[in-house]
Amino acid sequence: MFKLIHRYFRGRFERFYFKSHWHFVLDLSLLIVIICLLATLTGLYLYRPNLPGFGSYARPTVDLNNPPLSLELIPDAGIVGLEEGATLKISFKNSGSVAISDLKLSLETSDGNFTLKKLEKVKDNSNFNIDNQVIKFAKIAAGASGEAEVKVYFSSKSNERTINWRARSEYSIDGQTLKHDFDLSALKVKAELKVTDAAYYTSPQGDQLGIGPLPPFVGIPTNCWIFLEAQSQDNWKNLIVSAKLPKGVELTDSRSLLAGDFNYNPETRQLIWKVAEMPGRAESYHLGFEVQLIPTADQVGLVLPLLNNVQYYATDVLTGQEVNGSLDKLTTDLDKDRFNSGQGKVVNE
Amino acid sequence: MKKTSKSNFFFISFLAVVITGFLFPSVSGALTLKPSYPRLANYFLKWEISSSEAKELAKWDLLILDMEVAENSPAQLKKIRQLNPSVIILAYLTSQEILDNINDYGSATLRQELASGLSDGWWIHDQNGKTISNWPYTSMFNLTDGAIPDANGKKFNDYLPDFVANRIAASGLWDGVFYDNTWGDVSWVNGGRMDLDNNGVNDTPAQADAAWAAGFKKMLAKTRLLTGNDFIIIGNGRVYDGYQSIINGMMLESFPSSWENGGTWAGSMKTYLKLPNLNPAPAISVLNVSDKNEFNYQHLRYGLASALMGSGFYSFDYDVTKHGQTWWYDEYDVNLGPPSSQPFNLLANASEELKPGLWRRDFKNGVAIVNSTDKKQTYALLKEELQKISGGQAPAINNGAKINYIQLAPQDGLVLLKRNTAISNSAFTNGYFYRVFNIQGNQISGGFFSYVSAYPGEAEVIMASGSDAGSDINLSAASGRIILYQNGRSVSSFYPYDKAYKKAVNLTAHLDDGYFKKVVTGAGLGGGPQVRVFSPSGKLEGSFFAYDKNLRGGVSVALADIDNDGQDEIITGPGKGDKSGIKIFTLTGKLKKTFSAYGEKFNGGINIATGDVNGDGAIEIITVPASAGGPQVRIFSAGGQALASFFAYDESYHGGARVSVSDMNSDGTPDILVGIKNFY
Repeated sequence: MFKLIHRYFRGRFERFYFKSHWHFVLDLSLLIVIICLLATLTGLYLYRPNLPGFGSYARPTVDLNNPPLSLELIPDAGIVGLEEGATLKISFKNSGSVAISDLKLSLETSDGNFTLKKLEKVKDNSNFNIDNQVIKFAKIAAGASGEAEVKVYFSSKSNERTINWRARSEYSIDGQTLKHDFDLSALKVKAELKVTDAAYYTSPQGDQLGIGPLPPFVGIPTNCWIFLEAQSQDNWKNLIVSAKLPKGVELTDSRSLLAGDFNYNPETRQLIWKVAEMPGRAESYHLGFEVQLIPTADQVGLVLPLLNNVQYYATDVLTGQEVNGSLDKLTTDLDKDRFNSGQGKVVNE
Repeated sequence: MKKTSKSNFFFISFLAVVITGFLFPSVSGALTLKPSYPRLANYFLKWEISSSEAKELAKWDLLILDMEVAENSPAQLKKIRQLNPSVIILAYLTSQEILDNINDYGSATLRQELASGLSDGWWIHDQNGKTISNWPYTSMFNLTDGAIPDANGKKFNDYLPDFVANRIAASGLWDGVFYDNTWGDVSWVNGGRMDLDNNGVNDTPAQADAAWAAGFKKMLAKTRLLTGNDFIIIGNGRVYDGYQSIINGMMLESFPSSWENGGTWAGSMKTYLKLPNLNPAPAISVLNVSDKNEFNYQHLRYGLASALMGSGFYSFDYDVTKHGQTWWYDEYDVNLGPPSSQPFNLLANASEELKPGLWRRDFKNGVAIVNSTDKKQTYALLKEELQKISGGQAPAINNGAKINYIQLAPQDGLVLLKRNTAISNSAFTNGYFYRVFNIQGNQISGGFFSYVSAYPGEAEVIMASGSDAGSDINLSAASGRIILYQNGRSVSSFYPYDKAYKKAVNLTAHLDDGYFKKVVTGAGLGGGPQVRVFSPSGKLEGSFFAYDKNLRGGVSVALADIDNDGQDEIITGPGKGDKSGIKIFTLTGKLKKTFSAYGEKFNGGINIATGDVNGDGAIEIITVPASAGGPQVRIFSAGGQALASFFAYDESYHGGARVSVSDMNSDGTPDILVGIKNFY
């Protein structure tokens, strides 16, 4: 056979190719064409398309126990602030052989304590959009995977601080609609604590609390009341508010302590208000105390400080999280006293 | 002879009385002066007074009314006494002169009667026989023994006491007599030209003054003899020490008058302050200040504060020519109580030496300060807090402000109140802010924080107050436990409910002169409306549910003999969430009465207290919403009739309030205290 083929090509070489190489090019091209045609013919012969109404059509199946789309929704933190919202990371992968279309993810709370307030994209991402609080992906090709991040905001409807929530997914694959619900890891809502300080000569309702001249006179005592207030609907413990009395400002014996303990160290001039247990409630926790200053001649024209370095610390009972903060210093200008604010500069009589 | 014996008898009797008067100057009559200050006098010299004037005049403590009022307006005199049973009313008459042509005057019955008995030898003449006058249209009497006796041998210094005894003292309408122009000398009248001994020659000033003082003293002594020690005798004019052991006091007219002790404030004050040591009890002196301007409040204060440095009465009116005003001032309404110090000079290291200065005198309920210098004075009170009075007449001064320093213009004065921030004999919430009201809803003193550091914040506390100042017994309820303290030490404690009950407990108690006799509790918010009755040591004496026992709003309680049957009743207010009204129970829990305080729809809870807040002798029920609703105080009679209502704080405040009843200004009438936790 080999000899036969060899003799054939030797004969063609001697008769044609030797004379003009174009004969060889022509033959080779024809040979390639023939081979390709044979290959095509073979392929067509072997092709069995699975199409409805086409020969032995077989309908494809999806394993519902093992759907092709794997979804993972993970909040970035277990404790969220209602104002800050929770960042939800969405990871997806289409492990199926066909593309997935119209993936819709909706989030909902599992009880009546919270409601979903708002969804926002964290970054600009064209893979999905948010429509009427539903996250929508247009198409996920077979084998494709990706990530998305959304910010989820909640509204509280009770004093409960644990958000139990879940996601609902719905998508189409090969003409079928698949739905799947799955619980998300519970979130704890950050406790809110409002600590304020204020100095008054006259109460907001018009009661004279302080005594002495305003603006302060040189040589005459002026007394003002300072109030520290902590307010929260949540349970806190170990609230500590500390502050320092400026030089020349002294505590009087008048005070009103509605919760906790109050201590003052005259050597360090530091005062500390401690509330060991602070169950959350609508009403606030109060400390009021009176301070006195007697301006000196060299203070004429100055607004004098009444309380400095006001700081607070507290521990959230539910989460164990510790918070701290500092408050504005208080002066004889009595910023929050609507009857007397702005009269803090010391004058001669 | 017979006449001589009578004269001797009279003289001996007179001497005995005078000597007794000297030896026992403190022998006093039935009349007792009111202990509290300011003491107010009205020098009202109209001869007739109207019904409306009588009503006004009844507000003063001492009235000097013209003697003719007894004839012209006797009904008004009685009306004044009806309105003010403790008023002292003195009959005014001039001691040494009378209007000329008195018979030409209408409404001058007593003067005409006095004039009808006058003898020609009782007038003062100069050596030319001309009568002497000190005041227009009057002529002067000769009060000396140099006067010529009448046909009965009497002189004017006999006649006048007889007249006073028979026509004034005997009438029963008067407490005493006010002798105007009680001078100790006379030589300054008519340039000293007078012939008192009727010898045809003008007397020397020394002779005239000596004779005048002796004769006048004799007249006063005889008045005392005839009228007795209970009858008040007051003089007017420059003070003469020689008379003071006989009479009860003097008026210092037009203070500081030019004629008194050098014409200075210090001079007049020296006189004013020494008088009580010279006069027999009851010593009654009057400091009269005159100003043609009714609204010269500074002048008013200056005089009043000066008067308050001593024990006398204060009078402020037009001037010496026209005493007849019923001017009333904010300061007159103040109850300073009895004095607690002598006056002292703040500018002279608290010295009592009288000289111009910043003078202060303390009283139980307040302070009087007068600046008698010619400079504005500023003075820091340092740790002391006083309160200006509240009034509408001088709003810059009497603005009710709490002060720790004073600024007083020259010749100005101040009446200040001591601040009482101790709520006694009524439960209060420790640390709450309280305002103090009278039944009309007027704030009678500045608000304050009711904080006692010995007790926890928000504890219910009752601080007992009685006549024993050394007794200090208090009751507190906190975290479900009641503790009885005596002199700061816990003497007993008990849990009124279960030991596990740690919520608030509402308290009330029956107190008897500073001691707890019975304690009644009501569970606080979160507890059932269970009322329990205990002995002070904690022995349970009774228990019942005042409202539906399934509710958890607690119950407010008060204890009083509200229907005056000799037995205490328990009055309850429903807790939050209950639409029921006020209920009145016996101590055993038998319902006696119920009524609605805020309508049948209100379910915010009602806090209550009881007390005789209108001073009518009956106990009233005072209510305030415990939550929701505005801070509207309502006052009810025992029968549930609404008597008064007012908002204790801004109507928009819906945080709930507490109510207590305590006499904060020591006027004998309990005041209404309304407390809130959060004044924002």
